[in-house]
Amino acid sequence: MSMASPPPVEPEASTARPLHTIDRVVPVSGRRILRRTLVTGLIFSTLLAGLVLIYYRAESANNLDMLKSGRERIQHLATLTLHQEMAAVLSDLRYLSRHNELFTYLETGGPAAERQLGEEYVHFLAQKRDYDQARLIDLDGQERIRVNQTPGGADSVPSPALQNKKDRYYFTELMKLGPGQIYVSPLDLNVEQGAVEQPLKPMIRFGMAVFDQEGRKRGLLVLNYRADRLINRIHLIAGAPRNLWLLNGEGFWLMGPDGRDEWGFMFPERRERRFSLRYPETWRQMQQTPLGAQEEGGLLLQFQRVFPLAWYENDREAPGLARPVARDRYYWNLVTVISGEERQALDAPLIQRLAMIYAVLALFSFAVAGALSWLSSRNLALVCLLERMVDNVPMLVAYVDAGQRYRFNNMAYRDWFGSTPRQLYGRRLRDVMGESTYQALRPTIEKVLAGQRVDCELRLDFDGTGPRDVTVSYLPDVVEGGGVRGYYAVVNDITALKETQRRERQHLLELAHVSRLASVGEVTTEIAHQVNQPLAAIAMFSAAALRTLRDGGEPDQVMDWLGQINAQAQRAGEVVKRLRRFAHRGETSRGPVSLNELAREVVALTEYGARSLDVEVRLSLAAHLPTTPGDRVLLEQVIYNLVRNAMEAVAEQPGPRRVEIRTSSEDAGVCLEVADTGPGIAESLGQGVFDSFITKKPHGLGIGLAISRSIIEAHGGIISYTSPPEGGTVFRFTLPGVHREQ
Amino acid sequence: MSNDYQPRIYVVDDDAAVRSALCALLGSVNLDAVAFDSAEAFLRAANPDLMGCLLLDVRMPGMSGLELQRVLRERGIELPVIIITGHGDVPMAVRAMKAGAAEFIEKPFNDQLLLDAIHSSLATDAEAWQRRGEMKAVAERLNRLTQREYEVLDFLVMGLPSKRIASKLGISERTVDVHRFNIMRKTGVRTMAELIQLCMSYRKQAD
Repeated sequence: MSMASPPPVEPEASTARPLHTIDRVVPVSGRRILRRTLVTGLIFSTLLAGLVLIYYRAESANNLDMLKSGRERIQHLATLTLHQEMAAVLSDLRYLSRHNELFTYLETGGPAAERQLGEEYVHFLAQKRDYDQARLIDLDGQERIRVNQTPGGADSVPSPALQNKKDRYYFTELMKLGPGQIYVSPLDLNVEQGAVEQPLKPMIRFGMAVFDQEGRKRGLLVLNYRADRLINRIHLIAGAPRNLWLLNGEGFWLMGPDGRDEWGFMFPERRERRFSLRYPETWRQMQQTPLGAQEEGGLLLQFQRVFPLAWYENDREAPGLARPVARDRYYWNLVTVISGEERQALDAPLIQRLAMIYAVLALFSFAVAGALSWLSSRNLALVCLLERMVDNVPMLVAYVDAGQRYRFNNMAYRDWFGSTPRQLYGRRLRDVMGESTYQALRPTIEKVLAGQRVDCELRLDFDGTGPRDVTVSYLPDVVEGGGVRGYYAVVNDITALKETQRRERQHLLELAHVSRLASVGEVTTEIAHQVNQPLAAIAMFSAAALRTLRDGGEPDQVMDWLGQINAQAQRAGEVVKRLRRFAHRGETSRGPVSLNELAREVVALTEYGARSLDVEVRLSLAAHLPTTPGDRVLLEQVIYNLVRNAMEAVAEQPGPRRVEIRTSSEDAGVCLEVADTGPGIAESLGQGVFDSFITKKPHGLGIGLAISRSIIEAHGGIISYTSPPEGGTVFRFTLPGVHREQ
Repeated sequence: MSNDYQPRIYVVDDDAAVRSALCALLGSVNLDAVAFDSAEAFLRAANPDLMGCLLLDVRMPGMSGLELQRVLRERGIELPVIIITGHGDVPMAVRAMKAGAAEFIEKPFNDQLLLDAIHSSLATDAEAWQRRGEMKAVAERLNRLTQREYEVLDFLVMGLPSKRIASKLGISERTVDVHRFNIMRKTGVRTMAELIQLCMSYRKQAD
């Protein structure tokens, strides 16, 4: 297991231009965007329309409120005016019932007093143009004094023209009055000789009984009040004509939408023209409540009941004051009118303004919808693309949060764990992968959650899947400020690869033995030559000895030759032993091995070959080289292969043919180099020379270097080669050294 | 065979044991042997007047046996060569024989076989040595001739009569006869046939 720990991952700069171009690959359908834009834009603009409508409603209601409050103001002013006017009339009447000239007349009863009183009334009316008539009627109904208002001024009517009013309704009403009581007639039109006077003369008669000093009722005082002036004043208050109506208690218009609708109760042909019939609902409301508003017939009607005679003066402030008897029942209705046209005129600019605003907003909303739908389609396509890629990567790809729960998995998880990514979402790692695997991974997980990137190779035993070799890459998801929010996990199943590697290594070791046997063939030729030398020497020495002894020569010389024979026999034996050592296929031993010794052995083994190929083999061995634990047979095989290759490489060279074996000790262990002066290795091959079946030799298998590498790697060493600038090739391997060479 | 012929066996082998064993064997049969440990060492001592034969190991560090053979021929050293090799493959033998080796012996060898080969080589060498001596004498005699006598000799060997020779050289027939007399006297031959034979053999040797 190898654990690399590169420097902690820095959070990516978000402002930097993205390095990849995946957004350019994403297919975005124009038609789809258009459809989405239209739908979203419609929704947006509909919502906006709703908002604008609500705003319009509020504004419109506001406008209406403004109108209504304006009307209420008018009503209020009109009410005030009515009250004031009535109060003035009442006070005039009270004055006339109590002044001295009247009392003088009542006491004396003479014509002089009567004339004086009449003149008094003339003066009075001349100043008070609101009154049409002022009369004094005796208890028999006979007018005693009558002053008429004329265009030229007030005019007293002479006695012969005075009439008896005993039959008139107001005489009867007046006769009922006691002291301090005032009679007020309904507002109607003046009638002369049984017909309504033209032009119309709206009129209210105020009357009260006249009592002398002794408290005896002596007559009746009647003031005819000209209501047209009052009506005009109210019209002035209303400003625009005909939007302030005045109704009497029966629902007839006193002031109406049209002159022809007014005074219905005075004209038999106008009986039907009354408010209560045209606006029955409002009328009904008016009966129930004194103040209110009602929409009817396209108009908004605000109404208010007015008691003109009951003003603020109260009994306590002026206890002796005369008052109208029916002042609580005497009422009119003031109605203000707001027409639909008026409202429309007020709302029109608002509608225009809102329509413009809405048009701009709707346009904008379509633009926004377009942008949004483009973005969302592109993002969707991007997500689809990435999903497809991530799902088709033959690795496990996941995102795990800080709570060690899966937040994202690719489809490869389904093949491993049988659960789809959706099923895995939110589940704990521990539960998904099983306890033993979790414990194996735990240190790695803790490391990555501490913010460190982890790349390692593990052998994990997943539940149900059996042991698997995996490479694990964990990349922490570091948030700004240094916290770890989770990590990205990429797990690659390399079980098959590992298995292949294991098998390959096993194979190569087996092959090493086979190839060693193959080299035994080579070595045998070598040995044959090497044995030939001593044998030839022995043969000749012995032949010489035989001849000398036969001819009776020097025995001393023969002795010397026998010694030589012996030495040569030893030499031959040594060669044979070397062969046996080389060919020996014993148990793999891990004893201490001296590379120096092996180098010498190999040189001895290849001596004759070197001679015949005319190659100079040099040894340059380090003194006190540490030994290395290993299999001496296999290591010797490696050196033999390298030396043999080197010799063959230089054999065809025209220049110096030299092979040098060097040993040295290093920090990491011991090192052996085989340098030659050959043509070197083609750069294109690189370290591929160590791959199987790469060879330059016509009869080679191309497995020598591959076997050498697997042997060295099996010993925990490294083999490589370099091509030094001065030419040739240097093969070099290092092995861990342990023991000191004695 | 002249008494001046004193053959020696020159042994060139890089293996000391083999070298001394060969010397021992040759010594035991009263052959005079000189050993060299490399081709280069032998070349330093070699000259065309060497007598005897060369025992040569084909494979040696430095200059190989075959290469040595080539160099010897270039230098006109005609010593018979016996190749001894531990590697008796056929191509090697063919190459050695093509290069002019007299014998090819494989190690380890029967001592008698080697000695027989040595003896036969020595015989060849002795013959060659003698011929070399004769040729030397002929050459010496021919060297006494003047330039004009050489020209006349050439025409004589072609078998031209004196009259033709005289007309070719633009000299008198009598002068040709004087030259012929001098040639016979200087080379020491008595008849015309003898003179022609002498010239032919000399030319053959010179080729």
